[in-house]
Amino acid sequence: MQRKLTFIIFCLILLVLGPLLSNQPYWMHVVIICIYSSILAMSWLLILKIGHLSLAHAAFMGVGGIASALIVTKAGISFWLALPLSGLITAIIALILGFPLLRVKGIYFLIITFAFNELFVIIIRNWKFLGGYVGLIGVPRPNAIGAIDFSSKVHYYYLILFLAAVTVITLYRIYTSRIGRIFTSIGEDEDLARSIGIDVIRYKLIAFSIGCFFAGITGSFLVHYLNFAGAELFTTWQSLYIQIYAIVGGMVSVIGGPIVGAFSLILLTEFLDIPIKAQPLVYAAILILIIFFLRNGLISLPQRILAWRLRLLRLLERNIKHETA
Amino acid sequence: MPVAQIIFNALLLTMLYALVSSGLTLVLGIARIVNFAHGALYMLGAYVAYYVFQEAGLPFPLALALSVLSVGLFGILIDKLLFRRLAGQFFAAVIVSLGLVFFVEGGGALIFSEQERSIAPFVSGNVDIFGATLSVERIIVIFAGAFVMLALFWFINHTKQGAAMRAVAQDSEAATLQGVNFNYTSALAMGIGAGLAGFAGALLAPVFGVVDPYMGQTIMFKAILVITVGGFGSVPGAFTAALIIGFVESFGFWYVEHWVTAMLFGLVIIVLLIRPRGILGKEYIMRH
Repeated sequence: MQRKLTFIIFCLILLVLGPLLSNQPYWMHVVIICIYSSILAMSWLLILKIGHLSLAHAAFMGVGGIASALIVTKAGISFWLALPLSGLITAIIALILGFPLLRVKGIYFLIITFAFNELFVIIIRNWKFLGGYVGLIGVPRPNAIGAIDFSSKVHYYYLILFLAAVTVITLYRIYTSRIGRIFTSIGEDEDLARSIGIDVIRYKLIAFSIGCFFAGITGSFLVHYLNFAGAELFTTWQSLYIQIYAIVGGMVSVIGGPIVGAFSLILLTEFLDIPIKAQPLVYAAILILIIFFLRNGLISLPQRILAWRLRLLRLLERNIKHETA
Repeated sequence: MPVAQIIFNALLLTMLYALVSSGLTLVLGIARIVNFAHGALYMLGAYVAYYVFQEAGLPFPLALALSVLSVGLFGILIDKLLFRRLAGQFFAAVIVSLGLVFFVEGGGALIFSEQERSIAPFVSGNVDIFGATLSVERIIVIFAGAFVMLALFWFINHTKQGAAMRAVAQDSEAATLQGVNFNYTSALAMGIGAGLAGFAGALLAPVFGVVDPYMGQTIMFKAILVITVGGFGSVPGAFTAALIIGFVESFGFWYVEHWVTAMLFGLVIIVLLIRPRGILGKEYIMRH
């Protein structure tokens, strides 16, 4: 426990002071990707916690992203207002869609969210107003606050770090509260939860909206970071990536797992210089290996190693006793 | 409005969707797996046809046969290696099948390059029926598709193995008590399902003219719509739904173009709300 805390604090210090050590834009970019992917993976996991595997998370990111792009470019509203606003819009759309969708069993939900993501991409590509085939270009940077004018990646870095901190704190508060326990109980056994009087559909909607809210604000961040909002950022493929981060990292730890997963996989690609073309293949292979051999994800690795060591010790003990007997 | 043309197109789509969806729904009902990689299998079939027919110049029927065999065998391989080990763990199996999509499509992009390849039609020529100009190729495809569907129906309903499949789909435990080899039947279902997808991919490749590693995604989307409307695990349901969706899409496309997809999606949502089991499906039981 003590070691875990020290490790977390070390990582936090590294994250916060990182840019001061090396402000190479390339690595800034990589870590920014790691951070917002973590947010997406964490918020996705929240929806999984209530028993629904959503394959539309990238689409909801797209809702937030495109909403934000349109709000800022067409209505001239400041990014700082557009950010929470797009999150809200995404949450509302999630609420509306969730109403029919969350009533159906997990398998149907899975399938229909997959279809929704595909549909979303098709709509975006065919509607000029939402970007058309090319996408929305020229999305401006966030409005400057004093000296922070977002001309350097460092500014974006701290912004996304801040958003990640908000996400982590919010999720932590949720999971340790009564509502968090309700979510878990719904996820573990919906019927049982219902039988003790929990209004299942209401809490599912809440969880779903919160999860999609964070997807939405991430989308908003992303489009203003890339100055672009195109359908290719929000495809079903992207939804799968999010899912892989969360599962490879470990579903057992709702905050740590996704972060570990996102950082490990993305940094792995960077350090091993895996070509973009081979990336899906490698990720898929890792995912399948994890499912078969390390079900609870990378984050359970220390625990597993400990358990394995213990077993080894016991085995040795028994052998020694055998000898002396 | 060239009605004959639209109807003809609808029939083509029907056959395509029926072939792909039957395979998917078969695997779902018997092996209890939602194989998201089904679209990728379709893509593989198309690529085999590309290499055999277009690149090597061998006769098209040979390309078809090779597609069915190779993709079918690949399907059995996936089943034995991955899905059998996760028997009963529905959630894990879904994750793995999603990972497979990444693996097969990513692998395809790596091996075949993301560039789309074109394929020439396997016969040329058009005929005029009811005032519509129809390509001979497409007519053959429609008949070939119908033939295979009939063969499938015959197999499922009039052979011992087909009976075994129906038994497993109904109640796998009772089926094994009757002496049905579950693993064998499951692998067979997966092989047939994959073979159907490969066949569809190969058959339709010259018709659509192009192949690319991600072509399976749109098909997967449509196949999912079809099996949801038709009922999970029901092959006749898949055919009926393919008919409905094929016609809605063909006529819808004429009027509202790409928005027809939104219409189809809306249709599926309605089906889910009113009758989640689909038209001909039985209540799908998820083993926890």
